[in-house]
Amino acid sequence: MERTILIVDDDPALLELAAAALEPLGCPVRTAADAASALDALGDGRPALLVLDLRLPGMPGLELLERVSRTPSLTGLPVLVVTAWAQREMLDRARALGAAAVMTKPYSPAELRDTAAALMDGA
Amino acid sequence: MLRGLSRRILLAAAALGVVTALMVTLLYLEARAQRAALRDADHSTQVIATAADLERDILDLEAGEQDFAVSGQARFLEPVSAAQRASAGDLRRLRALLVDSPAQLARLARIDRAYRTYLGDWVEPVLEQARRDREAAIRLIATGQGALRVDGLQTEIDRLVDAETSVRATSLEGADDASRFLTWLVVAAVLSSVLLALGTGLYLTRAVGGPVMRLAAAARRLAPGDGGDTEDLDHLARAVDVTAQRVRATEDALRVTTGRAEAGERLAQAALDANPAAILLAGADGAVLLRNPAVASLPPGLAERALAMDGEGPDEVEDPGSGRVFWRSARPAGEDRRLVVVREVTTELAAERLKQELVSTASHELRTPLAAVLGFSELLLRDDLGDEARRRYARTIHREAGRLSELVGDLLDLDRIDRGRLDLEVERFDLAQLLDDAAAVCAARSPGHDVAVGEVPRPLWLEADRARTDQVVANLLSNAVKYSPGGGPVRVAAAERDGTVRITVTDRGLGIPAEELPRIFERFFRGESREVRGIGGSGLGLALCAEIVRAHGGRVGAESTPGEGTSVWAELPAAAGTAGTVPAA
Repeated sequence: MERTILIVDDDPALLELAAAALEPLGCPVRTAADAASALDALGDGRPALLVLDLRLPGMPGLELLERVSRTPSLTGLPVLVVTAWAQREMLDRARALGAAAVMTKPYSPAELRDTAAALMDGA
Repeated sequence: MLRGLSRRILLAAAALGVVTALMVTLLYLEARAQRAALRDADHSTQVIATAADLERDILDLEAGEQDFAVSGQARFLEPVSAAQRASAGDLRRLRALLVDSPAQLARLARIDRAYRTYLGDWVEPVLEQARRDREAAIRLIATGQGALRVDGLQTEIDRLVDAETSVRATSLEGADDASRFLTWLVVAAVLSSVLLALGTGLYLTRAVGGPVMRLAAAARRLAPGDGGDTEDLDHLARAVDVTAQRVRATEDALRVTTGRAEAGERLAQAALDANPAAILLAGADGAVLLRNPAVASLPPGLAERALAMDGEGPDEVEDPGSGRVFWRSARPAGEDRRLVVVREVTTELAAERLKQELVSTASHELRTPLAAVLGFSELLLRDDLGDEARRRYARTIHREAGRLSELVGDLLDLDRIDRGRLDLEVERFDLAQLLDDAAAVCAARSPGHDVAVGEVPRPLWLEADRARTDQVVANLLSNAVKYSPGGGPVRVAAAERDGTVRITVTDRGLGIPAEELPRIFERFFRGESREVRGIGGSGLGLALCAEIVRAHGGRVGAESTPGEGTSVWAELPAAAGTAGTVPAA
């Protein structure tokens, strides 16, 4: 099965940025702008990496994260949380809920690419 | 000795008081009697005057009747009936006046009878005769019977008057007696008072004089620099003066000190009473020695909790029932005492929380476009980038930088509003022209949409800040365009009613669910459906519009049907300074 990356972000510019940043990894990238389409995409097939924004329409990103960690078929799926919420409390909660890495916006595309690569290699 | 003396002075004063009171009572009673007698005399005078009226009216009646009989002219009949009416009135008044006097009433009854007989047996027959046969009537009058009857009546009336005159004389005599008695009473009162006062004075001189002499001797011995042995009261006076001065000085000093202390106490009390914080002073055993009125406004049990807490604080104390939050601090206050202060911070905390939320939302909103700008510019530096991608990234950077700048501008505007620094430069301008320009700009920016001005009277004068009004209209238009992704028509219209100008921007876009409608003017609020469709925006535009409109004394509102479109309106007073008179729509 091909290794894909799923990026979930409500901002179209940032979706595009993440996709462009991860392009050099050579994996097909799928995008979702809200929690519902993210869940649909996850149902279609398990990606190799989930890049998740914490502020999402329809469902808070943390709740989606919790769902993912509780879904048996998604066990071990590395989740890279990318958020503009910079409060430590929020980041700690994301880690507690199973985020493999947490990055705050603005981020460097190279850094995102490297972190993503490391997570996918570890998985 | 002094106690006996003051008792005796008191006794003398009491005797003087009793005599004076007695005199005053007698004076009062006598004056009343005199007034009553005068009233009686006055009453009699009225009776006599009314009787005289009656006599005159009867004479008028007789004269009128004779005139008619002799002349046969109907005009003389009017005086006859007038005199008759007047006589009847006089009799009525006399009856009312004499109701308390049986003897006079009996006399009046005789007059009444005689008057009726005179009317029935003489006046009416004569008038009757005169109507039929004037000659006969003249002959009848010539008999002199009329005058005779009138004389008889006058005699009866005179009797009544004589009797009343003697009554009046008696009353006046009574009044005169009372007046004489009053005079005597006054003389007696003055005399006895003078005598009593003299007696008391003599007695006091004897009782007090001796001791005063002894005092003077003592004072002379005390008074400085006087070797003379003349026994006069000067020494006493001087000594007493000096003592009085000393006493007064001491009193003044005391008053100043007491006044200062009292003023200080009042100030401290006022400060304590007016203090919004609850203040408790507790003793070593924890007993409350003092509490200010604000303690009563604390939730039940909170004062006890605050007293029981250790340490100086400040510590946060929350009332679980109401959710109110307090800061409690304690300080030692002298020997074994503790001052505990409890101040409510519920609103401060809420405001703080709101501010923090605003800051964190704002920073989140700023980070998003910033991330795009930084990220794409980093990507641009990559060497392996194709021209197409390079252009696309540059466009995105430009767009997101614009969004960032817009956001910063909006935030600054809102901050200005929050600090009351939004200065409006009010001028009179044609709103129709402004709408034309705004629609043209918006149409040029969004070629995919049909943006146009709808119905608007021309010209439509408005007194407002022109640039801010333009900002509102532009914002409403760009919102309408943004949430009409299908490219539907967007219309801006305006109308004036009752001194209020309403600007309405209507679209046939996504619409807003009813539960979101009340929140669309909140800061950073972005509807669910908007985000689902990935429509960008800070969520500040409408909030800013609302604030600008409110700063003008106007209001904003919106109606919407999901799937059909939205209509957002802003109402501004047509003339500046008429805010508040806008009727509810």
